[in-house]
Amino acid sequence: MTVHDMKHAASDSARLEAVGGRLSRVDGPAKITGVAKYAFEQQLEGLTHAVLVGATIAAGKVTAIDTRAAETAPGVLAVLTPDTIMELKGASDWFGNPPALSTYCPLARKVTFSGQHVAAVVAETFEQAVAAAALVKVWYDETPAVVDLSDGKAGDGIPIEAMTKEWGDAQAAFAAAPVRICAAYNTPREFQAAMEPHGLIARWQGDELTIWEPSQWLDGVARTYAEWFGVPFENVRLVSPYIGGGFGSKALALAHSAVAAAAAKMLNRPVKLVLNRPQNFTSYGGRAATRQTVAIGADRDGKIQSIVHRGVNETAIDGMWVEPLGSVTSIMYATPNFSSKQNVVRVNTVVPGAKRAPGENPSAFGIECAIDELAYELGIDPLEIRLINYAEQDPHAKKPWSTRQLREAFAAGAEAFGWAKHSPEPRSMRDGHQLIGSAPRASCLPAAYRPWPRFFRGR
Amino acid sequence: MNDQVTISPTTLSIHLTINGRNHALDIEPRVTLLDALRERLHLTGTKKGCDQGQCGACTVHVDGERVLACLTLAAQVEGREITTIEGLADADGTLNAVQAAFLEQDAFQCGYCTPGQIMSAVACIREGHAGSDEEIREYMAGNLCRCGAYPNIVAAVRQAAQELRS
Amino acid sequence: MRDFSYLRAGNIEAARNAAALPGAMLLAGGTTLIDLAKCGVAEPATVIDISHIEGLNAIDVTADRAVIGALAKMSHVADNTEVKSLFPAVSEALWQAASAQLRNMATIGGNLMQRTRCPYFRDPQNFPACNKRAPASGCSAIGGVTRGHAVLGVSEACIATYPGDLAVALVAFDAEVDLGERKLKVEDFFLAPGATAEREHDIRPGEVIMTIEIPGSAAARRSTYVKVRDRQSYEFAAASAAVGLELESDGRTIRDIRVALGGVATKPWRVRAVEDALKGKALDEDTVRKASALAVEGAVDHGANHYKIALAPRVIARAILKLGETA
Repeated sequence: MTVHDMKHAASDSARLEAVGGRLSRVDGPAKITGVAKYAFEQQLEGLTHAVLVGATIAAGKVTAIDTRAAETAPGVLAVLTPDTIMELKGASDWFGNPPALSTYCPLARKVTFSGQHVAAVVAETFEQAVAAAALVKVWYDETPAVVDLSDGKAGDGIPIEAMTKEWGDAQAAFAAAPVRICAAYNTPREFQAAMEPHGLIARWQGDELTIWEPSQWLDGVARTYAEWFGVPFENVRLVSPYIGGGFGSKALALAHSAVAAAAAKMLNRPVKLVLNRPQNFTSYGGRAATRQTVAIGADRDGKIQSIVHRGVNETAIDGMWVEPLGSVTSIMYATPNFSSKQNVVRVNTVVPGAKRAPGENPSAFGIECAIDELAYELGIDPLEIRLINYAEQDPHAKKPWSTRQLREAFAAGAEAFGWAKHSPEPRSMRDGHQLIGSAPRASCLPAAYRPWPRFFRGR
Repeated sequence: MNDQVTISPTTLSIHLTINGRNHALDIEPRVTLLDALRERLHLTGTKKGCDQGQCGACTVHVDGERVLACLTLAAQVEGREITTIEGLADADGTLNAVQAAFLEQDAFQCGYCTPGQIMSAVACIREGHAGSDEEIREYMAGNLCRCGAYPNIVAAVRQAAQELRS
Repeated sequence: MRDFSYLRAGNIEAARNAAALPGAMLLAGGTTLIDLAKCGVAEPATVIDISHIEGLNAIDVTADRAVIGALAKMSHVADNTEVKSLFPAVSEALWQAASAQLRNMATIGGNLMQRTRCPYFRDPQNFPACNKRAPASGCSAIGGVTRGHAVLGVSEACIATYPGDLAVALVAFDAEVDLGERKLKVEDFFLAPGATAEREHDIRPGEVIMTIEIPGSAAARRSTYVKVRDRQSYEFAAASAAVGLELESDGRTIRDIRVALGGVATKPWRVRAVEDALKGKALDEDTVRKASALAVEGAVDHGANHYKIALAPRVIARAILKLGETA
């Protein structure tokens, strides 16, 4: 076997081209040798294992839980239900708003989505906890569930006034435009699905809590634990040595985190709780499913006169998430008339959450597809129509961009991908057996300026 | 192995050979190799991603061949040679060519799939299935990477395969 | 996973005796059994580990026939030089199945015992009704999300798709499975659900798969396995076809042809109607496409799996035409 000296290979290139060069990661050697210990891989004396029991209905009430078989199963230390888990205090939300309720129970009596945690088993070994969890018997009073956005029972939802953005008279300008397109775009629920599942180890020493948990927001998560258990913030130590992928999902202390910390307190032993793979799809929210219509009115030469945008995203029965569907729509192209409005619809799902570019992703998808429809309708090249409608300034604020190099990006893209040779005609391009298509696509991440000193206090 | 059927008690006493070292374990028959490594032997380099044979994060070598530790019972591999990511580098710390190539090509971000990717890649090259980028992609398909480091992973496997051939 | 006892069988007699015990299940590669035990579908009282039995993993291939031991690993058979040259469809079906790791674990005998991937079958907690798991409990898939479900060989009791690849190639080439006391055609070894969805294989307590035998033929030598799926690799078939072709000396008239479908039926699905329509005919695209359409006569869809009825004949045609191009 060839002996490869990593130190030289990595650091030589680093010295030669430090800026823009291929630097090896600081934590690289630990990760490629298996030495890197992720949060819930810590070894603790007396560690116990917790496994959750999820609801098998999407809506209704838990009427009874029979824990007897689980309690007498080998190795079981505790079976927690809404009736037996210790009461926690309500905690403030992501923005620091105080809780609506003074108490919090992370195990549900009222079920609002399938897979919601209703019980938990703690045992000496992982295998014992898994087996005993399967013995917990739960009875429900099931009620009809709203399955998704397209469910007939879902309704039109709740208007989110703060998302309305309008200038000019978009409806009238659209009606008067000589060329009009209107199209609907749906995006499904999308999941973060990090390789490392969500999970943690919780250990109490007196009223001091140590949590080993992958976290994208150490302080915020620690604050939540402190509030749940009514201990000073300083008493909570959150250890997150590595994050095995988070993609927005690992920024909050979640119901399963509360269960583990409560179990550790009740048993006075460290508890490890790791969501299994199916639970990683129901214990925290991915990007909300969305539905939007984009109507564009334009002149025959392709100049946009109006954009009318209507969006809807799903949220939970007992939680609010607004996926800002108009965030890209309003600043991509110059238009004298614009209207964007958004509703949210409650469905029986775990509350959606942040996932890589929240809002920008489905928003860009809608407007960019619609622009292609307009180009096709007019017989104008898809790149050309983007340049015809190039926004020389922020179309809403009418202020100059701090930086915008979209023209240069389009030119580079045209050269790299050869868009000019591609046909927008449906089913006109093939690669072997596959039908393919291509077109220029742009997006942006609105970097709205906000004063930050509240968060960054100098020493 | 003798010709007799061995009927186990609730707890089995087994010996596993891992990275050349012998380990004695008292475990239930249902304990997987993955949980034996991570929870009993504290060899946590082998990762648990899906625990159902779909992500490849738990890839280890048994008698030199890559397998999934999450669908292997620990008891089943008694008498076999098990190699994990912790046993891949030489005793003096010299990295395996694949490990070095992963560093050099920046073939990971979060690192959670990485031990499985590396164990899989070592076997992929040894099997002779790293002859082209297309072949590497096909024969590395059992290892998922959610950060999207795939192009760099292919580059790392290609580089290591070339080094090992020369 | 429920606790179980573990028995390591030292030889085949011990395995047979133990396999007759109530609640006993054989463990070879473990890729089906351990997976289903984790899902709560398989609840063995005793697991009989046969993976240490020696002499059951031989791969013996001649022009006349291939004899493959039940414990031969999928990867070893896929990479076997003689299998590649004399039974290419078998090799291609194997290397396009699962992942490299799973193919190193899974055995040929275990592959035949692979269970359906029907998501309702695999989730007893959320879907108690499943005729395959619990006879007469109902079918959660009918009326559910059916994109992956079968359109051929379905019954009112079950529409679960047979998910494997290898067996599709085996039924195309009249392979037999040796159970020790008896031998039967692989095609007959698999059972369509009918009213007894819980019976997937014609195998009795105490029987152990010993070998699989594939007769050699000109069609097997000129064969291929085409698999179409939602992603390029590491995925079950949306539709697949194992096809073997033998032409007359004129180089265009079909003397012998074998066609079997995967991913669309409740068992590995030989389509003799297509074979009969093509034997003696000239190999041209129009004839092939017309004949391939016969494969889905009588197909029944359940909504989202409707596309399989259009897809299956195209996969067959692609496989036949691909073979026609290889002189």
